Amino acid sequence: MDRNTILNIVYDVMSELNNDRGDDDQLVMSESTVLVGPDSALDSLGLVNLIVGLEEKVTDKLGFDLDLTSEGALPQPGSQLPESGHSLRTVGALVDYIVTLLKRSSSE
Amino acid sequence: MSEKEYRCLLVSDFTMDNLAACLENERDFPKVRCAIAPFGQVVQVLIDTGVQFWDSNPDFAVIWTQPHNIIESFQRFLDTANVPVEEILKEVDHYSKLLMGIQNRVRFILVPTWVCPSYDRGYGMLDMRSKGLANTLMRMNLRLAENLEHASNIFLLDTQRWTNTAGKNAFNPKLWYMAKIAFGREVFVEAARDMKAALRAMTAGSRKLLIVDLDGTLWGGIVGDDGWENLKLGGHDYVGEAYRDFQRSLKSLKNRGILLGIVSKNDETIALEAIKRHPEMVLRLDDFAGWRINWSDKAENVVDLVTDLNLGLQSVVFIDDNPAERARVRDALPEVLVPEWPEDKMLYRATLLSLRCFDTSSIGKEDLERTSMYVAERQRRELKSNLESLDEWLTSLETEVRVEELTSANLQRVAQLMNRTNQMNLSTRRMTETEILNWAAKDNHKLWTFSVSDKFGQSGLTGVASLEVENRGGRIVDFVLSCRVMGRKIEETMLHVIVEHARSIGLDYLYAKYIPTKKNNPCLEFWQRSGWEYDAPLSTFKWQLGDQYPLPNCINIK
Repeated sequence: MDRNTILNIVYDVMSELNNDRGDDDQLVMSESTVLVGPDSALDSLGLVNLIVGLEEKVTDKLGFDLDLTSEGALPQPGSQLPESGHSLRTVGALVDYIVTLLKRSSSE
Repeated sequence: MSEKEYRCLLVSDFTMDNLAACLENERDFPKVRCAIAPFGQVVQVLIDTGVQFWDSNPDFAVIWTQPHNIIESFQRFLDTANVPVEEILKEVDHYSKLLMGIQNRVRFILVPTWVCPSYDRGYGMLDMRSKGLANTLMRMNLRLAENLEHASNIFLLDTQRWTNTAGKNAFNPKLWYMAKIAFGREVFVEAARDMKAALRAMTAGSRKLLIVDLDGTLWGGIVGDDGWENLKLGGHDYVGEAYRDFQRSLKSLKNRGILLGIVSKNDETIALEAIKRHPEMVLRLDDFAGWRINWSDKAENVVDLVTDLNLGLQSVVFIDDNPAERARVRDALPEVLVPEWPEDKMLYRATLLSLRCFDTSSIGKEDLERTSMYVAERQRRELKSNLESLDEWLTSLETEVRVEELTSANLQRVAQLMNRTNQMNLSTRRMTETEILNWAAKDNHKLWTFSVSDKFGQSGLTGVASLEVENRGGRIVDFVLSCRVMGRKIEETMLHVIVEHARSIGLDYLYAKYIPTKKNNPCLEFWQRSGWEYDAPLSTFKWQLGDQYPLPNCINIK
């Protein structure tokens, strides 16, 4: 799967979320945008909206049943803040993680 | 449009942050700021007047619940199926009473109906039988609607339409388990749009006049080139059928009180002949409040027609199949709503029906007869053009005014007038029926209604005036007159009635304070020529009650 396709899907979902956010609270369309941790623009509810929106969009567009909520991808409530290498830490890391899941799925 | 920001209280048994975000960031007028009541404490918030969230003095509340949470017997029904429906409906009755209990705490209450997730097939082929899930839920919603039918400031909104629009992503169990969010994002987007349409309906923001083009919009073909006999309209032709259905939907809007107008670049005689003679025309001349059919600029024609009908541009929707004409009107008249219009004629009707600009909080007798009133007005103007003086014209109309006090029978119309009238409105008080009733019930308050008729027909209840007695004087608080009868000496008649009453109870003087808005300058202009003493710095008008205020010669009071 082309990494750019996944990146564009992530941006699509972020853009939808931006429709419901104020002008000074917009998510920046960049691979370095932080998604979890103290510097994140998203609160926990925003993260859930992003993940579920992304799962639905990937299923719609690619016909692949993406599951981002298992295998410890999502930080658990009360858990330590994700380390820099966490799969959801930034937009770029999230895209890489999805590409990995897709590759793993196609090789199974 | 008003820049007022409406305060909203969201009360629910699920996470409402997504709805709050949609309401606050949806671009449509009006602006909304939300407060969210504590999660899952619906009953407590409804019962306890001391709950701090009511202190924010919200303009409206959204009470959105899930049926299995708020109706305990419905959850038992889901678990065991062995619960009599009467028991469930009794609980719905109780919940309805809780909702009615907050009617005085907030101006408007929006209650989305109950739905179950679409993936829940209930009893499958037996689901519409009496013990079925779908059957029971329908009866619950119907009972709720019946109970709240006469609650003037509570409105049930159809959740099913939002979930249908959202499609398969309307319900996602992951959202519920991870964040207690009951619906997908699209449901909240649709809900917020409908809620804003409801707000506009309740705050005079809805559109009243729909102006359409002719060639390519009401019918297929160019009438000037093709002749009316060859237009595509009705018949055994799918495009003709689509045009006819579009006209039917326009007629249905007209029948619920939306005025129709025509602005078209055409030869007027040829175009009117088509409307009169084409056998498949659903809309005829009497369905239109007015028209401008000529070769002039459409934006100018829209302004001309709207002025003629005594409406404001913010009341207008303009539909034209030609993108260049749409762009012209949109650019020249930004207050006019010009929806994007599909090229495919078969989508015209669906596009019209999906517009969110015609919502209204009530439909009364005056709404149903609105177009015929404008047709009568057109006949009056034709008479006027044949007579020499204004007085001669007004006398020839044989106008009668019926004056009545506030009653339960006219309350709905009074609220409608006060909330919709912009131009002849002294103080522009926007009030619910309950607020009006409570205000008028005070000993020192009095409220009159004015219904107008003449030899061309009824204009209906078109005026409202109210008085507050203060020691030796009285203040005219409301002075509201529909634009339909402005300039026909009804304004002077209203002042005559108020002055006569004030003299009869021994007051010394009356005064009125004009509160300016963007749209009520016509009201100021009337008061400035009314003969009352004007104090410009205080924006007040005063009348000493030693003098009568004469009833215009052309008016008979009944």
